[in-house]
Amino acid sequence: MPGSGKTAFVGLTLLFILLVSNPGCSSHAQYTRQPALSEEADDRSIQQPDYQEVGLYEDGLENVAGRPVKDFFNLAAHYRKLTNNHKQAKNVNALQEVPNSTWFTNRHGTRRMSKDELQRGPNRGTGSAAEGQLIITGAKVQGVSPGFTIKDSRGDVYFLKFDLKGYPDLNTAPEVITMKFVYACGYNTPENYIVNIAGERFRLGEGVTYTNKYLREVDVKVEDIQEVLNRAHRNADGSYRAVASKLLPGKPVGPFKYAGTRKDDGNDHVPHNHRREMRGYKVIAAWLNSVDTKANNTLDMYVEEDGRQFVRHYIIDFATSLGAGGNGPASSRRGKHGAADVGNMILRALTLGFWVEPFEKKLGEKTSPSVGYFDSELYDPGDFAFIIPNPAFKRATELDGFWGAKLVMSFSDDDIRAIVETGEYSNKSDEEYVTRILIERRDKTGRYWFKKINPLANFQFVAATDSKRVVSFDDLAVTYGFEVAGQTTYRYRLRYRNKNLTGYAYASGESELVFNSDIVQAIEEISSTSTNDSGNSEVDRIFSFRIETQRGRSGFGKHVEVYFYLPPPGSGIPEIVALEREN
Amino acid sequence: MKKEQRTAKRQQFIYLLISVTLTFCCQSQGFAQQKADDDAADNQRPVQERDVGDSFIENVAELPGQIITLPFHLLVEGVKLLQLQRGYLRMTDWLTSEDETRRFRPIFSPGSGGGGTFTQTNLFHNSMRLRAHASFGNRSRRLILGSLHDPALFSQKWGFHLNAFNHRKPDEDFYGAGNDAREMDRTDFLEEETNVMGTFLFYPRQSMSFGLGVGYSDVSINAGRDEGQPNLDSLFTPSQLPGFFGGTMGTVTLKFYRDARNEAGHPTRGGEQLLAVQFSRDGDLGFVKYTLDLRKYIELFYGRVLALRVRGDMTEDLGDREVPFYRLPGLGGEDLLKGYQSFRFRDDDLAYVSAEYRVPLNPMVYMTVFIEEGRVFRNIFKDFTMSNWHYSYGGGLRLRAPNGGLITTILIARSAEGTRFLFGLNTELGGI
Repeated sequence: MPGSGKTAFVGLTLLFILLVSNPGCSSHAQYTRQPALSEEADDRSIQQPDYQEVGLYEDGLENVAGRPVKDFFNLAAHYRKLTNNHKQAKNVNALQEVPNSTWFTNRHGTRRMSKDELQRGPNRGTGSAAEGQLIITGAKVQGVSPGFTIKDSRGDVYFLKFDLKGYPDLNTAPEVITMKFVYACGYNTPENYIVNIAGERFRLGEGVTYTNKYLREVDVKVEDIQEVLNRAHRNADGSYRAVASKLLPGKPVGPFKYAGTRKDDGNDHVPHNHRREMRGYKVIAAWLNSVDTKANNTLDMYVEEDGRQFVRHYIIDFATSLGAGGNGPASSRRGKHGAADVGNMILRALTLGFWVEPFEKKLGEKTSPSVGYFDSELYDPGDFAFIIPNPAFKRATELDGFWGAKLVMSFSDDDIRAIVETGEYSNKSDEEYVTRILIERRDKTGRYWFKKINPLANFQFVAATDSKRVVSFDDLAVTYGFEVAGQTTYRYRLRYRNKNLTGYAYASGESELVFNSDIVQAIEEISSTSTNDSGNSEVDRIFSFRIETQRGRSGFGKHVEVYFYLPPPGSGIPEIVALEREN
Repeated sequence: MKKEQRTAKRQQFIYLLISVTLTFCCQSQGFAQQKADDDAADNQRPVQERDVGDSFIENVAELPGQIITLPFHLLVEGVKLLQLQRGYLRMTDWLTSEDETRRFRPIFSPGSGGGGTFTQTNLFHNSMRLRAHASFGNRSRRLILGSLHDPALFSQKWGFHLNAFNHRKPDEDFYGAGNDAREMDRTDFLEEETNVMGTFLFYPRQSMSFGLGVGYSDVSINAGRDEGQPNLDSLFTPSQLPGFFGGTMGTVTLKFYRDARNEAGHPTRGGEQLLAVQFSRDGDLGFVKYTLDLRKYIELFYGRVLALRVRGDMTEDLGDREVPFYRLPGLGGEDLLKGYQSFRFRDDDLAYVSAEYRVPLNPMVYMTVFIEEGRVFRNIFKDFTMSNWHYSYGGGLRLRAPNGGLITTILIARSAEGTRFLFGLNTELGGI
């Protein structure tokens, strides 16, 4: 049967070629002794990119219809899902953290910010000038959130957005509070200020036009301004409360998409849906009930810093966060289903509506007009829906979720209270309510994600009293009170080049790994037999501990592997070089 | 020999299949391992130097999805390229003002075809509204309509409504009068009506109105344009059917209407009541028509709504003048008994009941399930019976824009005579 033989030959040859061409099958990575990468270095000078428009319909259609269909037919994605071998974020360092970049700057998550820093956020001034005329240089007189672009007496430009009549604080407070949380997490945000402005300070500038919803340039008239003000809520003293968003530095070059890269930005190397901070933002946005994470709520700015010109990426609009619905209070449906959750619609249709979802029982529930519907009871951190599916969030793995949850958990009760204060709610009870809900949602977030991943972190070598080496760590689930130390057991074993060197050692309740006699002996054996296999003695002295955690009577869960460089005796201190977490 | 060839081919295929499967699995496992290892290795490399692309095999695996969504992407790109969205918006802008005092909406219904409605409010007067509608369909179907409505023309309680239209319906059906009219007796005719009516309105309350209307209509009946159906004159004669060739009529209408719905677009509570008496007469034709239409909306639980409707139509000859056959109350079509063809049953009187259950699938989409029953009578008081009622049932979706703007209805209705698919745009199609 020559035909079948030929086919088999071709097939096997193909198989052989692919296997041979794939070094992954036969090799494994090796860490080297070096500090974890702290900077992405994506701020090299580039030519100014063209302004990139992302149409609302284009973005919506792509993410609601196009991408899900494409993913459905993506065999590799299904294979990865079946084998729990998800594609991990591409921009993390060896400690699974995100290096600083034009997208993200490590702030509260790595170094606790003071109360002042948290309250100030990105703000560097005091908002628009307190006195003098405010010249209206642009206006959005229609739509759900009308407002003005103004130039104050100092020459600074702000965009003003008002609270709707009957809903004091509802729009303005979340714009400030959410922005400050997002900034403290590490993202770039605009400077937002709460301001109270007397109506007579506004003056319409010369030749001001706005683009109406039909893309036509229309002259702004004094009546239009008055119409916007008529729709805005007024304080008791007759002034208008607004959020003043300061014009971002640099030149706008359009929003960024949560997938792919910008072809005209040479620094934009990692597809946005494979950036950990973009994926992990899913957890932060869910915590803050910020459901509108479409491309148009972002902005790329071409900036000049230290003589270099590059693109900095901002998240800019938080009008639909906490309990604000953009055009009034949010409903209890917020976060439960997206704009086109076809699966849910089919389910509801098949059950003829007799299946009542918990959020439906809360629809129409009376809420504070300043807060809207914002709760913790129905909040599900693992199943939070955004209005339009976000392609980066869709790619988020448990590791990304864990990273985001660590950031969320980094805010203490006092931190949350401090930031919520800056929303300047008119009623103290509203401020206390929002604080309480954020605390409860934070804990739900941590509880959920810290169960998904072995939440051991902050590994470091410490000197033990008996002169033996000890690696200490934080069990974040215990640290934040979700688990009890006394009911937690850790087992760990020493590994070298992906091979186990020892059996398990156990630590009950104590968050530290002791170098017991087996471990010490194994290290000595390796040290004596290893003769610079790699030609690099530092590589040859990189060991790892694989640690698993047991809570109560449950079995041991996912592992975390901490790689460390162990210098020869008397020649320095051990260093943590890498972390790997089981997804 | 042939059997051997077949066996060989089968083996070839199996080998190929195994090879490809093995290749994919090993490669997948390979790239998975490679990626995992590369991740580790990559983690220590500068981000800008990392390999962030998909592997060859992953790109191949993504191909089916890419191919399937290609038309979609081409459409999106085409729209962007041709700036159709911008063009559409500009066209809409021309007809629609920012404050929507001037508004244009595309429209479609099976009976009137597709077209558009233009509405201008604040015309001459604060509350005056002008509406112009034009829609066209197959077989030269058309509806041209203009109306001027002012609920406060004379004072806050006295208003006026002027309505004029020309409606050409090329394939109207007549099966003969009576509740037992046979499907096989279906005949076809063309009806073209030009109608002008002015109505004085009195609003004792905002939700309630009394109307007195005076109108004139001219109807011509001709051979139907549906070539698949026999013409009216193939089964009926002018002596059998009053108004066989149409006619002109003067009309006086008295009307009471109350709208107690909590929301016009998607009511969940309240109801509507309509009571109308219409006098129409011509040389040979003349009749009185009484209409009672009651609708009630009950919110059962969490937005699920039960909508109930009862309708009764009754006609009486005006002296020795008779009701033209095309004005006989009828069941079937977009409104009453949707599972039947339009005007499947006609007679002097009509009774109709329906219940519709609505479930919100999301804030813009509602699923509806309905059942309806109706019967026509020669004389509803003398002949009323609960037997031989015709029923229809079905369901569908109603899509509504958040601002109440675009309404799309897709319904499937079933009856003893088959299944009908109904689609309507910006039309309260089959609505209760």
